Amino acid sequence: MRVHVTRRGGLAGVALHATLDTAQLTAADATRAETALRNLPWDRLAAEPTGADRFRYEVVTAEGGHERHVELSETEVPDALRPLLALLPDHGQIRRASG
Amino acid sequence: MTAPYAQHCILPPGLLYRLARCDEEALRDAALNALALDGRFRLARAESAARLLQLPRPVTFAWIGGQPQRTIYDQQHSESQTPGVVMRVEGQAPSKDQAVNQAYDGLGATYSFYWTVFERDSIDGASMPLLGLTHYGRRYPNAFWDGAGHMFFGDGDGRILTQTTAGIDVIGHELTHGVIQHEANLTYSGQSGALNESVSDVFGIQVKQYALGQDVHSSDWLIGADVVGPLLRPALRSMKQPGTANPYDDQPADMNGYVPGGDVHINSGIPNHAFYVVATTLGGHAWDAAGPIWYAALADPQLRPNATFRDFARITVRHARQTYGASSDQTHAVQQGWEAVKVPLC
Repeated sequence: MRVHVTRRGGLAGVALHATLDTAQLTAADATRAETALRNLPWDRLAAEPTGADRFRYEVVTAEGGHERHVELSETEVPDALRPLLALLPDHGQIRRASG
Repeated sequence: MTAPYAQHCILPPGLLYRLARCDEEALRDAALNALALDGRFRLARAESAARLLQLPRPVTFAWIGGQPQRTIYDQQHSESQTPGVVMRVEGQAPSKDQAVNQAYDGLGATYSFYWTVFERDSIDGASMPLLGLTHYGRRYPNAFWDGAGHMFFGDGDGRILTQTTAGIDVIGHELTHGVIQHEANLTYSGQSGALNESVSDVFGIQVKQYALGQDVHSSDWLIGADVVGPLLRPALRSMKQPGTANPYDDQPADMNGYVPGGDVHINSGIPNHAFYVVATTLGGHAWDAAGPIWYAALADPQLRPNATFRDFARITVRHARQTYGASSDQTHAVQQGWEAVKVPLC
């Protein structure tokens, strides 16, 4: 299952974008991540952040033929999705914060 | 989901509590969302009212203040939000862990700056313990304030950021987010969010300048120069020349470049540059006059959580006039600072 992930916010304030595929994970992690992705609260913005300089993630999928978006604060990320998001530092491309 | 939520915003909490217990899931979710929002508004109003009351500080005959209460933890690369293993408490000898010692020293330098310059006793002005949580997450390229008394520091991913405890301005920045929360509690979005970020940079750079004994001309006015990885060199932000700190820096330097709906770290370049202009116009140390004017504005009860750049600018001018006089160099410098970034004062 392919998803487009953009991480925004943080102290640096730059956006990091990557297209990630659950096929990049071990079979067990992939199964858990795909279940977590299907159960995300799609078409919703991130909850109001507490504190400052926290990350938030935008996840986009075209699964099933139509595009869906969701924004998650980093404390809302399901544990099962963390192995997939851990691929972001090595695969992500920096974009300007406004990009 | 959207329609019921909007309808319930004006309903009294009692009715919302009843709806939150009803059988219909959509209605229950909407009521819970509305209650959460309502709670934030009530909290903000209560905090604002408490600040306007100017409650007296407790009277004591003992000498208090001037001594931080630091505890540094090792999160052991977990993303747990609760403090991990205690590595160093106040007064203990240095640890073998460099990040732990950097956090300890950086929090100490920040406490010392706030106490010596403003006689502020810690984050809340009332001896709040300083809790630094190091080694947060795996290759975590960030440091943040959690809003609940903890400063988290990641080790960096080696590309965007390196060890975040290495930046004394970064530690000053994060601790200042706590100070802001206990003063104006600037809402973390829009112009008030950009102000929140800017005020953290303004005091973060002063903490660094104070620790290094730098005046306004010997400082580089760069934020994060000691924590950036190769992709963001030489720094995260430049207060002197916003938009030039690294290849991806898109901070505007004045209101002509204001980005509507922009991330709080983008538009913060505007008030950042205003402070730079004020401090360098006056010369000497940033904390001689510019810093105290900014601090007085932050602590002013009339600075509301949803303040705009203009609101903040007008309060800084008022404090400059009250403290130094209407025709003083300080007042003129503050007016010049906001004029330089095209924030109107009237």
